[in-house]
Amino acid sequence: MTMLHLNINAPRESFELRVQHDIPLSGITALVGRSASGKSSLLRMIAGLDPCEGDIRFGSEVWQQGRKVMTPAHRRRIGFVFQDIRLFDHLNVTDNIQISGRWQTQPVDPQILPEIIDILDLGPLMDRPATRLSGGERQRVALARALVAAPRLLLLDEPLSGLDPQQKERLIPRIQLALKRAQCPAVFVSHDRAEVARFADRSIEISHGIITTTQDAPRSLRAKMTDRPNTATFAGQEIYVPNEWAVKAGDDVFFRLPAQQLTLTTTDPGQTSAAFCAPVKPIEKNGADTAKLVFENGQAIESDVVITGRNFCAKGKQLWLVSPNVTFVTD
Amino acid sequence: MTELFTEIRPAVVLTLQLAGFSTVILMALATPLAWWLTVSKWRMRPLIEALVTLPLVLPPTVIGFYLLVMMNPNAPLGGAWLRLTGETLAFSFSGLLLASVIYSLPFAVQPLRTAFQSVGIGPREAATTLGASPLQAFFSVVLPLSRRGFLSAAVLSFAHTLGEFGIVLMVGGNIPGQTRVISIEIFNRVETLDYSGAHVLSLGLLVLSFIALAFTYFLSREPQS
Repeated sequence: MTMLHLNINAPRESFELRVQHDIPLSGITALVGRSASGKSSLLRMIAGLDPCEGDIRFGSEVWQQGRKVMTPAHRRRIGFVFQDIRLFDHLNVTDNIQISGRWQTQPVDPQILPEIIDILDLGPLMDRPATRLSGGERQRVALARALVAAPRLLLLDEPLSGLDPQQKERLIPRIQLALKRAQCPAVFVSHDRAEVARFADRSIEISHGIITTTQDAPRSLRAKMTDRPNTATFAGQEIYVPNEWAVKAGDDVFFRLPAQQLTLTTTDPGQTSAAFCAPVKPIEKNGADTAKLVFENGQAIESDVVITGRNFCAKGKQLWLVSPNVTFVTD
Repeated sequence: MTELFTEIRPAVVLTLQLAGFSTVILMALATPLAWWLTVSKWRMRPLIEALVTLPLVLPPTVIGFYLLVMMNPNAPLGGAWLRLTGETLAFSFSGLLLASVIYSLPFAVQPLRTAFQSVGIGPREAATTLGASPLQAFFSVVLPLSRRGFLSAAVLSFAHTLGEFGIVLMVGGNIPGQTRVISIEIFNRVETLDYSGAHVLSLGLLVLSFIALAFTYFLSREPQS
């Protein structure tokens, strides 16, 4: 897998940013941390917008070596979605999205424009001046503008800040689908753990300019869409799929269970209000409080449910896994 | 009355020519200068800023005096001009043009700087991440976003050149059809007690300047949403 290699340091106001890490250039990576932890600065250094010292390599391409910038920001072929959006206020939505065509030296897949416009539901806004858009609309236009330029890596600085929960709920699937369509890996900065759990494949935690922990998201599970609207089946159980995912009957949908919120029961809870409930069997126990759980359809997850009682999680015992919510992902 | 118009016509034409050429040269000069002043991180930048603003505070006679000294055929500038064109720079239209460009420079640079500053770094960075080189970002994003600044810089430069007096008198003198602009013509007429001629010209300048300034202030109003 190609990596974004970082070995950089830069003085900030109250601390020194020192990062040595390889970020996989696939899926969505979250940079998590409190405000002023250095995460936005790191994103801007990756983009080449802020100076730093050290090495940055994109796969085998050297972006920076020591103090010498080898590739200036405009030649890195990255996309950036700024926290304060920064649309071009003298242009309408169409021109905002297409202006990069004037500057790009690489040919861009002509099919991507209509598809991204469709995924982000921008059709009705295309003739609107950039100054006459709501917060959520501006966010979508900024995302389309960045993706249409065919970036090799999309950097998003708090892309969901300033949106209300309903807007977030509608936008998250769209961002995931658009990234998948553009086949573009993404690194996004967030201070909201729930948001990170919703759509990151891995998370990197930063505190005072230093990476403290890294974590991969739990493996995703695959369910099949039924003929009925908004309904998928997984191991004989039904799962509600929101409209945004727009999957056809018979297609696969992918979802994750939130590792921290799972419950195991020894008896069938029957009708529950939980979003997900399915019979499961532990097949191996790793350490004190994690186990590998296999569903009836053969798919498995690692669970770190705290297991109480010695024989509770004995190998092969019939259990039920209950989750208050499911998170859909692109695959 | 028609006689008066034929009499003042050369001064009016000359003044408009001077103001027109000055404005064109000023915009070409002030745009990169204002841009550099906005983005430069050079430590000595305040020195350049002070130099550009100097014509605003100095009496025109002081600038005129030094320009006159520099335009002397024995001085490097005056000598070079003489070898290049075969004419002396002092007391010529070219000399006058040079003087008025220097004199009106702050009036072109200041509105442009304000405009560039209010556009800020945001749109430029956004353009950069979309693949625009610094020059492309300037022309397709910064320039259109600061167009009101350009208009007001042009109008102010034009209006300010129209009203020059001291520096013209120092550098250009009072040669009819060559350096005698409206403000000098007014002075001449008052000296010879021709108040009606002075009146027509003064009123013309007053109205023109008022219109120019009103136009600029209408432009700099925030657009109503």
